[in-house]
Amino acid sequence: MKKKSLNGLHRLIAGLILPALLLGLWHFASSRSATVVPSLGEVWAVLAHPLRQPPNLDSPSLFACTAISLARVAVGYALAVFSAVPLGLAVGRSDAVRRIVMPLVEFGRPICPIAWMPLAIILFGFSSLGSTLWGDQAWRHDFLGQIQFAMVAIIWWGAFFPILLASVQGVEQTRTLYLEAALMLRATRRQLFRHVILPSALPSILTGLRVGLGLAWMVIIAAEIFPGTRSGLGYMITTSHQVAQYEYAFACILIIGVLGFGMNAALRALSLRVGRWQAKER
Amino acid sequence: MRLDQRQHRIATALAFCLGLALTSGLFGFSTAAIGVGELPVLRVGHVGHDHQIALGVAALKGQAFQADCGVWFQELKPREVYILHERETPLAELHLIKVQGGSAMPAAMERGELDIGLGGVPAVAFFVDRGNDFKILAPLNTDGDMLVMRKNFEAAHWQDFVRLVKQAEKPLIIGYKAPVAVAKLVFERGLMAEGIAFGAPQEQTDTKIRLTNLQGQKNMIPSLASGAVDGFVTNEPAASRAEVIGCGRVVCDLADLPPEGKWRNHPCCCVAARAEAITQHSNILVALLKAIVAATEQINNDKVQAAELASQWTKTPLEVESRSVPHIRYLATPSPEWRRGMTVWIEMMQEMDTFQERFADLEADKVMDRLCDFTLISRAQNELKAERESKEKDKPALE
Repeated sequence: MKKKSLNGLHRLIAGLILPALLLGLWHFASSRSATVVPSLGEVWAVLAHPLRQPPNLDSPSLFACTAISLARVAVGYALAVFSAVPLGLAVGRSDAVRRIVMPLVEFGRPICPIAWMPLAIILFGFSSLGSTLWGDQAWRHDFLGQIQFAMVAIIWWGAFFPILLASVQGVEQTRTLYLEAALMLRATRRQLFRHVILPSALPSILTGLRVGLGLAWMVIIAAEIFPGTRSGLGYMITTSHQVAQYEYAFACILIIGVLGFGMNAALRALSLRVGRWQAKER
Repeated sequence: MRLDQRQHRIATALAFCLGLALTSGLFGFSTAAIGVGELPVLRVGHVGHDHQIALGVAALKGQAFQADCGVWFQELKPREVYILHERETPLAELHLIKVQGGSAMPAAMERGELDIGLGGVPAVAFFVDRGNDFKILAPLNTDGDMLVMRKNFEAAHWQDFVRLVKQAEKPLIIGYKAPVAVAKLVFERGLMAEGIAFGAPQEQTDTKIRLTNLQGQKNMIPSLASGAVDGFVTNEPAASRAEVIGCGRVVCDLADLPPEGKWRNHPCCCVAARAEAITQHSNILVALLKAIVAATEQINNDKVQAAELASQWTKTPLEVESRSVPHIRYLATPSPEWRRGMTVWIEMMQEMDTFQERFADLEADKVMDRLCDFTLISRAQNELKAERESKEKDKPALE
């Protein structure tokens, strides 16, 4: 029991070493160049008042920016999941689908999502969920009015490929032994897919979901400089750089880090639970 | 009772929608309550800095502006949605859309996302050259470009700067925000006039100034603070911001650079509109221009108040705006100096081969004719004048 708690303490201390070093480095940098690197206190002052509209920054509150970025990521990421997972499963199962889809996937995969920004602007312009529903009166429904399709498309592109490839790999890695055993028990195609292939592919799919989520957060920062954007963590970072109010940029960076950490931890916990059977496998 | 999988999925989707709705209601993304009739909607693009505060002044003053020019803005959503009124008659719903500087505004007009745009003259001219039917309706400002150097660089004005550059053993590194930024173009020609050799950092020539593209205004202050550059050329309010933050010092206004007088009143921002907007909504545009003319007069009459309003509109610290606004010349009428400045730009853009199509081989006067349409601003000025004269006439009768 005592040994267990000591191990926990060691783990905690080990996990805190790098963040403590980073804080020390930050403090040092801030004392050397206070113009560009804000102090810990300045950033804390921003984080401590998340609902307050920044007085010298053309941006909504930190909380509002976080909420809108979360919503944009949620929509783009959900679209990526719902398009990439089924397609990945289909590619993994069918050679014909693979032959049709994979050349285009391999062509598109290395292209950075940000490179598509001009095309996304041309395709979607300023249109958003709000403008689709309410046209010129979208400003009355500001939240949905700010979920612009151009941004969603860029996030989708960022998250799509890792999820797709992980899904393909998951299906491909299904052990022949399981497939043969299920077929011997006269499993139908549907049963085979539902009870053998899908559970077998799930740990790999969840790994893809984790990677995709991280990329979605990376992409949103660049996507939120689209014309007409007035909120979001990426917007706040860019705006605060432009007007040299760097404490807001640092606060946003910390929030993105914490959100990413939390979401990754949740997905990791889920993947450990789903993949528990794999650990027991011999 | 246990939910089956399908019910569970539906419940999750509903919970997500409910969560989204609650979030939007709780944290300020609420729906507005004011209703407007079937007014035309005009989308106005702007960059959101102090070169374009005429629009902000009119919008911030609200109904109080009516007394001055008969036109006023009713706020529906601060800094974003307004109803433009002429006395008691609502004319249009104006959607103010903030876009990035440079070519972002005319590019959005090209795609039909904006009807009216407030932005830089060279960018508008470039887009008209390549076939767009936009017109410059009125100027907004001239000048406002500065040379900023690190704090310990001991130059008080341009001549000092030239002397120190010529004496320096090592070349100075000067940053700019974009290859076609007005500040960079003027600075280069100033150096040429002084006979100072300049070039890009990678050019291994005997240069006294190395010009570096800092890829946007956001990188200027970090570059100066870290010592990566010795100074930069930029437009206001970025120059004043560097002074207020304490990492740089304004050495001179680029309008004062040689050849003597050439850069004074160099055109910067303007009001441009798509041809469809001009033909379909000319009365609305005249009303909007009346507001801009009256706001410009107010800015020029009281720069202290203008700085306060600029700070409020652009969310820039008052200390920055108090330094920046006096560096900018605001105007809404195409004065002879402004027209001369336009000719300088057009010839310079032709020299640089920026114009590839319509304006490539056209004389500057003809380019001006195709690029600008001052009929609406003339109408706005005449109406404003008549209105004020009739008010003056009515005054003794009332007394």
